[in-house]
Amino acid sequence: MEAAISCNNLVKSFGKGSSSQTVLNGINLDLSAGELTIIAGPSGSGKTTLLSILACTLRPTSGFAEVFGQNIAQLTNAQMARLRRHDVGFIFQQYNLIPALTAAENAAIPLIIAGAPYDKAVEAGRRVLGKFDLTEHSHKYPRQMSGGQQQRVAVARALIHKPRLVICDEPTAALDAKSGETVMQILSDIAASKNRLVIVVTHDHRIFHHADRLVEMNDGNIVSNPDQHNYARIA
Amino acid sequence: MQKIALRMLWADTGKSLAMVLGIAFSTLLMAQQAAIFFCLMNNTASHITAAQDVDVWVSDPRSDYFDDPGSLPQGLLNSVRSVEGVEYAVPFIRGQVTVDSPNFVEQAILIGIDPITKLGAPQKMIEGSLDALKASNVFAVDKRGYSDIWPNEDIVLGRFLEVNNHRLKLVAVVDPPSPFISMPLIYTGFTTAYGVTGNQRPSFILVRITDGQNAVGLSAAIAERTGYVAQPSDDFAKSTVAYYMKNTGIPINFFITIVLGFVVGLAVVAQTFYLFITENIKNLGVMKAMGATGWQLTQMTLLQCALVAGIGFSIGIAGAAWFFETVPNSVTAFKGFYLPWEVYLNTAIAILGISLFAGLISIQRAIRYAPAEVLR
Ligand SMILES: Nc1ncnc2c1ncn2[C@@H]1O[C@H](COP(=O)(O)OP(=O)(O)OP(=O)(O)O)[C@@H](O)[C@H]1O
Ligand SMILES: [Mg+2]
Repeated sequence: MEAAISCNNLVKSFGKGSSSQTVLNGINLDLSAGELTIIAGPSGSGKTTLLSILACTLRPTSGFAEVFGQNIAQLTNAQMARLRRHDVGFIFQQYNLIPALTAAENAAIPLIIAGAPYDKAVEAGRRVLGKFDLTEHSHKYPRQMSGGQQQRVAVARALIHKPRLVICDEPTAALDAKSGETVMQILSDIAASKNRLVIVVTHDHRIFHHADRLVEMNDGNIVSNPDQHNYARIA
Repeated sequence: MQKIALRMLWADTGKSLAMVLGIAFSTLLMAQQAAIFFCLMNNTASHITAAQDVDVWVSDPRSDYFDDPGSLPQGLLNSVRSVEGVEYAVPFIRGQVTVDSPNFVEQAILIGIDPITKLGAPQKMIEGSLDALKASNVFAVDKRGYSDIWPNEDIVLGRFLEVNNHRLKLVAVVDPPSPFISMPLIYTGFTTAYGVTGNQRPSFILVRITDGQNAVGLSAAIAERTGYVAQPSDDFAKSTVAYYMKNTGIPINFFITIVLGFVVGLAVVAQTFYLFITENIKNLGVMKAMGATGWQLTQMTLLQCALVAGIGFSIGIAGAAWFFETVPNSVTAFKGFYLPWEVYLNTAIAILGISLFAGLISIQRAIRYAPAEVLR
């Protein structure tokens, strides 16, 4: 299968000169659509940094990273923003919903950013929330919802514009086991059925079994990158 | 995006209220003070601008402005009259006198006019007629002066007043625009004025020009012929205002208050708005990560600022307008004061500046915020 994301000898360092710190140390990675990939590894191993580059929010220092045929290193800020606007959905550990907006409005944000009229976008937001059993919450504000409900709103927001890539940084870390399981179930479903590429960074062993592929990092390197579907058997 | 911007703004009731009130206060202070200053300065020339039939003022080179009248030789009158293009020229006296009535001994301003042409006389009458000034030892007084001299008394013509120890009879009450110096105004014919002041010399000579002449050219001709200062009414009004601007502490006092209004508005709004953006930085960062452009965020910010500024300005300017609708009717010091359109315009520009500054300073933060930061 043609790789949707492809990294070759990817290096990222922060800072300059002697205080420079190399966080990604020559990453090679190919990921294909239809897979849910989990990136695991100890704290500080560079997971979020790698995810940031794949999400087109950060440029590599050297090496090659291609997302849907676009070389990240060569994109302008505006081109990166455009790619994120159309092709990337984001799910964060702390949900990061906008407190001033209702669930439906929050879910509608990517459409509004892309230029959809407010009313249409919010209507679409309500419909997506319906798919995640949140219909009766669509008028609620984030503070009126549980963590699990908020994270499902965030999932709706990440998917509303049908992005080809969904990136999740510790999506279950703030959730109880049951809510985390629900969220992961949704994510692995959309990876499989909608032919999307879902990348989840996590420490949470409880959710490893959802991975089609488990990539383990340590100290800026990938230490284990078994073939597709291997992990489930090992687990 | 606009709707989102507004929802985020109003969600923070405390800050949006603080900003609206800050702008309103700043608008009120700036507009009210600027308008008072404007009207006050205009009043320094109110005798000149109110004397609508006068085309040219001839004055002593040693006198700079209306309240510093000169002393012109009698013969000058004929020299002025002989200049071609002068239809008529009359003496005008501006002096200071002591007024003595049972409950009032005070200084007053004496204005002696030509009772035939009435050049330089006020136009608005309350009681009687200025034609009566043709008689000698009679006077007219301004409405406000009347109530200073005879407090709480109805207007009665025919009563007497001691002016510089001359007994004058009241024949008319007039309503001139407010002068800058708030003393009673005593109007007499010029012969009575000479008698009362004991000085046979006019303070100014007022000129009416023949049709088709222009005041600027004729002023130059009069000045050249006589060696005295001659200027069109507009110019004399301007130089009188300019004199007060240059030589009194009034402009600097008002200037300080107006600047204070500006600075307070700027400080409150810029600081509050910066805080608002700072508190929302994560939300803006999330939008940025999702592909919102810097321009989109800037538009949101400018809309928020524009709204706060618009509402605050409307409240403030309504307050100022209300002040000038009501207060001048009851407080004589503010009689005739109004809110000139220049003040509306300049206050609006100042508020626009404040909100633009606040918005642009604050949005810098959001623009510099890297989208990768929301993931960390
Ligand atoms: N913008 C940055 N500037 C400087 N150093 C950075 C920056 N971003 C990340 N780092 C450093 O890079 C290293 C890897 O960070 P990263 O966030 O990728 O780790 P992580 O694997 O996601 O860790 P965690 O599991 O704790 O989230 C850390 O030492 C971190 O301090
Ligand atoms: Mg991390």
